[in-house]
Amino acid sequence: MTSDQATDLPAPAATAPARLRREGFVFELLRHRGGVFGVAVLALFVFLALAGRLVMPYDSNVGELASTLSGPTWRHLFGTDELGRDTFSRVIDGSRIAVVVAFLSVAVAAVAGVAIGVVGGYFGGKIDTVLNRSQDVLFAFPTLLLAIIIVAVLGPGLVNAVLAIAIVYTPRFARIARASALGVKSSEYLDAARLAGVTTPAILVRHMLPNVMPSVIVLAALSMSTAQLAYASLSFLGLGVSPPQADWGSMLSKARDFITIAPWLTVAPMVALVALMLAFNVLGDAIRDVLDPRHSSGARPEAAL
Amino acid sequence: MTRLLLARLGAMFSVLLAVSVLVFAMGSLIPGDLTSVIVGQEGATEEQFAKVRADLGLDQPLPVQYVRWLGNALRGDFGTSPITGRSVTADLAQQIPVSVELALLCLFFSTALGLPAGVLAAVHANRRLDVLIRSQLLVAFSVPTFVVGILVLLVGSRLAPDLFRVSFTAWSQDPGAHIRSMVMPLLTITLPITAMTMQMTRSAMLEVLGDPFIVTARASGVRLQRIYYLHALRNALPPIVTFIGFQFGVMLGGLIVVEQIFSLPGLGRGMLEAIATRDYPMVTATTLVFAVSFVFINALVDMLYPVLDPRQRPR
Repeated sequence: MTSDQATDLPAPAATAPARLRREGFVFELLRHRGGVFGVAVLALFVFLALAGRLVMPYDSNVGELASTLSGPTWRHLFGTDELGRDTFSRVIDGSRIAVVVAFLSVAVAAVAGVAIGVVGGYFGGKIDTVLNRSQDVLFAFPTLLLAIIIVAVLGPGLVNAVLAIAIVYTPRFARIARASALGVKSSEYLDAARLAGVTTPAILVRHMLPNVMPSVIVLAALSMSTAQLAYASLSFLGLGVSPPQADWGSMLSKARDFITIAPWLTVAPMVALVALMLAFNVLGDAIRDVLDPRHSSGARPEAAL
Repeated sequence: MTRLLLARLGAMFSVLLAVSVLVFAMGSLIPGDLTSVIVGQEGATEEQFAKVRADLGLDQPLPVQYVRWLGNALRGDFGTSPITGRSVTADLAQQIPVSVELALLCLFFSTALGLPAGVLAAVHANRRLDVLIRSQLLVAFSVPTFVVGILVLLVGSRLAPDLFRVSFTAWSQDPGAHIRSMVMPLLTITLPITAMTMQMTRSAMLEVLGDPFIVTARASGVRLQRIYYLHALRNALPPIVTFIGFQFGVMLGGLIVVEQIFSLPGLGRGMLEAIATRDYPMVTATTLVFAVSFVFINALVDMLYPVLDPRQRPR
């Protein structure tokens, strides 16, 4: 086999992610009953995240001191909080943070995890052992506890909360990426590529990565809802964004203090949070069904916090 | 069998050691030095700082500090909190029973309810009841624990003001009030965990129900109830028990949230308060207790596996 032929092998890179590249993916997802619902709700929240400032009826951070803790009226559909701020506007404003946190933390975790897993799986030996053991230690902490202590070290705030969730989720991606990397490590086309003189970075990026992607995408889709949940919990516990910024978790935490005199304050953030979580859950299942048809939907080991 | 146990114990201790290193490192990384908390930021001279640092052993190299800290922790001494001035161990002794009670009750109720419900769901798989159960589960997975807590509070403040108003009371002070003060927290933490146990039982049962020995049992006329609960459930048990062990981590997270919502003086609330006040010895102590119990439970479940599943036992 000459080097020309070997480098000319498009097959390995193309076979594994075939389901991803086919245009049918989006259509299949939209044919899936849950998929449509998930895409629709998520699209709504992404729209609110992008254009929320334009559609919200009031400024989310400016209160009318004349109408604090007002009940649901036509002026304020979901009431106002203790500073007279419109709850509906604050929920719309909060969707920006909710959407950004979910995507960003999972994306960071996926990139870091895939890098660790692929490098560890491909090189093996000492690097693999060290990477593996350090991940095992992270697995020794319950999810929310680990996120809380990382935030305690880094200090509360949006960026640190995202970073904490990303660190918590990295080992899962590393594990799954490593498993896929080990699966293709000894395959003939990788041998062929090595013999043909393809450099190691090129092998990792062009030949390993595409094989790892489908399972990583499924895990990322399934992780969205739990990452969102972890952030909402952190924020509820006062470890998320700083005060004036509207955020569902901290809104609910505040509403809890006024639950007897202004119970309506809980409604809007609660509905928004559950709707987004439901959309992530349903969409995650749909993406898994489409990308990994062998998996029968049913068991979900990673459910909630 | 003994060798397997020893290997598992060895693995557990190495993880525990690593966990202790991580917790200690985290404690030393938390912004704000313990000395500045004790001496106070303003008006303190360098000498005062140096003296406090020397008293606490903070002038020693980190590995030395770690060994001393671990030695003390193993003897149950976590030092004195610079914020409250109380012994951390004494505070822990107050907080741990509250959290353990909630955790054990949650484990009991979620298993007692989730296991039979899961069997029922599996038996009726793909029928109308099953569709209903599965859609409810999907909703259950999408509702965070603290939202459940707020719903419980909302409903409780209307329907059961008696339960709503009672604040935490120790069993030793007033058993009646204690039970009433625990109802809503318990309900909050048990609901999501029950849903998960049920879901896991359902899928584990579905796998076993297709096995030939079930068909054989059915053909030889064994009563259906007996097949479900004795033959099938017994065989579906190992993955379910593993899952319940995994849920323990979920439950610890839930405990932190629930204790915060209902103002229960447990370990989770203690940890959050300590984080807020930068109470460094308290943060490390509570974190260590949480992490160690999580590792212990998981190791226990691992060791339970061969007991439940004879096929896993080495010959």
